[in-house]
Amino acid sequence: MTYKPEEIVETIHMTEVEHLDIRTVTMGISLRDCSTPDPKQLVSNIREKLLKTAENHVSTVEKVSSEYGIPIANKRLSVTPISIVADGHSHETFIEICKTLDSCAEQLGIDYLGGYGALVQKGMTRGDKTLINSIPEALASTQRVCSSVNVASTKAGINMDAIDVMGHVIKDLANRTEEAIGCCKLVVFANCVEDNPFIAGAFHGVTEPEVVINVGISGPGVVLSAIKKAGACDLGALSEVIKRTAFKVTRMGEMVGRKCSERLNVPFGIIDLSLAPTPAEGDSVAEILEAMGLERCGCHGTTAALMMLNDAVKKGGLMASSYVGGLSGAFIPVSEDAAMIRAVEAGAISLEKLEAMTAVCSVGLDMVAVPGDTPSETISAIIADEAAIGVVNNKTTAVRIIPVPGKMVGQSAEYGGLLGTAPIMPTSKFSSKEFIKRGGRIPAPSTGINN
Amino acid sequence: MKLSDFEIQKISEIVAGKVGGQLDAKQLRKVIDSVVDNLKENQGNPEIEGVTCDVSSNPTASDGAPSSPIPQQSSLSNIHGENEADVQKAGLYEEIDQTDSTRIIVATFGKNRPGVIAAITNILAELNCSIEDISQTIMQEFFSMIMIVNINDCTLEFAALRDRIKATESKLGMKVYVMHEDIFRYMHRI
Repeated sequence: MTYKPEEIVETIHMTEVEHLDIRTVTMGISLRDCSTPDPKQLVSNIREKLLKTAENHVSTVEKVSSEYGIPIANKRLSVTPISIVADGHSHETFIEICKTLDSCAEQLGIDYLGGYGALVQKGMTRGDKTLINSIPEALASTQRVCSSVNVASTKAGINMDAIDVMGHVIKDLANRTEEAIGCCKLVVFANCVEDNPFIAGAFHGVTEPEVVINVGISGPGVVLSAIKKAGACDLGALSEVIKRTAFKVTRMGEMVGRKCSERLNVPFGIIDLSLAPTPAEGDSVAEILEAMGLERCGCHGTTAALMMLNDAVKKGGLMASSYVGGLSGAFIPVSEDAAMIRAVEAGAISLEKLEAMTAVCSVGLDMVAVPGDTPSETISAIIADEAAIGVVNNKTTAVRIIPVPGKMVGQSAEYGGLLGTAPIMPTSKFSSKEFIKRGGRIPAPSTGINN
Repeated sequence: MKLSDFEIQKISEIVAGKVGGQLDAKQLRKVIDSVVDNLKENQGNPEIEGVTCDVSSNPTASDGAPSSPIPQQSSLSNIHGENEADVQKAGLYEEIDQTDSTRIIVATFGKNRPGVIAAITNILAELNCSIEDISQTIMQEFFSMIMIVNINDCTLEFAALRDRIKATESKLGMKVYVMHEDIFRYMHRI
């Protein structure tokens, strides 16, 4: 027989029992050609282009999913950072564009659309400033639009002025939305990537083609079950098990991506090799770390275990796909990962440990809730710390932090669905105010000067 | 395009005379390169030109005018092309076919009972699907059957066919999985 029965059984087991799914098929759409000085025309150009280009996105992806029996959890869109498309326009126009993106996404049957963002690692244009200041109102008045702001890069250094502003933006957005849910749609990046298919940080970079299909794989459940099956082996052998599993999962992503791109007649961009957890039991990255032998995620050894996991996933995935890109590393969001929530509640993991973990995986402090009275300077300082890790290690880092108004350590914020439950985590009680007040730009590190 | 008789003769002469015995891909490449060099050296020889170029379809050659190097080049590149194809066939670069497969995998698991294969093959026959491979194992009471089925001439779309086969699940009291072969090709073959 062409295939061994074990191979066939393994595949069926992966899809039927271990919840192998493709996390997202994201269509990136350039809106650069929509720019015009007339605000009304601009809005109508954006609407027209989105509705036309993404018309068949959801139906095609669903068809591929049903035909191949591989669940595809999300169908999403990313667009050119709006600060570029609408540079020079007024605050009101930016809000109008955000609402237009929201209604287009709704019409197209898409749950989240990314790209209401700006790239300000070195400085801000008028459009960047208008966009950043509009974020609280824009995200509070829409459901489906996600925003990301890149504030640092290895080549440009860290824009501390932008980080200062982002601290205020996050606080403002938190106060405008129920349980600060708006903050779940806002990411602050260092070294952002232009082809990330994952929400909330997805946007369609300026160097990307007109339209592109990017695929984000998933599969913590499959990796977890492979590790459990491997039993008592040493870490070298365990790394091999993870690598083999990642290879197979990525092959599915590659297949789905290619089929979708063929049928939509849109070029295939990249596969993002990230392990993305969901609040569903067994679909957890923290549980993988615990299956490796850690009593609780966050105890000593967690960073090493995560480093190995992240690296093995990459090694397996790189062989499986011709084009690997995006963030490609394990995600460690708190609220979206059942075992991570348990670890926080048990006091096993702190913001400081999470920060260390972000040095060896993608992306960063993700979906962490902090007390509502956390000063904006402290939030800015947390962002600056993450940016420093990213900039000096030449990797992407990000902060998606939620200061939940009126909530204190010991309580939690319930979001439900994919966003899960966010236990409030303590921040340092000491102030970073004077440091943040200095502003300016931290120069690019010597690692960035590599020509 | 095929090699000309002359080229084939030349290759077989060199293979028989100079090397002998079995050739691996690397040696074959060397031999073919030496044939190519040989042909290049003899470019001015009218006898060789007459054989290499297809006289009936190439008016410049039948006119007796000096043959342009273009047909020469195309036949040379052809030699390399065929050689690479041979190397691929030999399994040195086994690559999966990127085109959509027309085959599906039907797998059935459950407690053994009579008529399982009949129930599924009847549907397949009715819908004009051909079974290319079938394997079954019975361990005590547990039964598993895996089929590779070509649905090229199937009268139903894949999704409808799958639903039709899956509908036997309740009747048989077994789990029946119907999946596109592409999934297995991508996952288990490089």
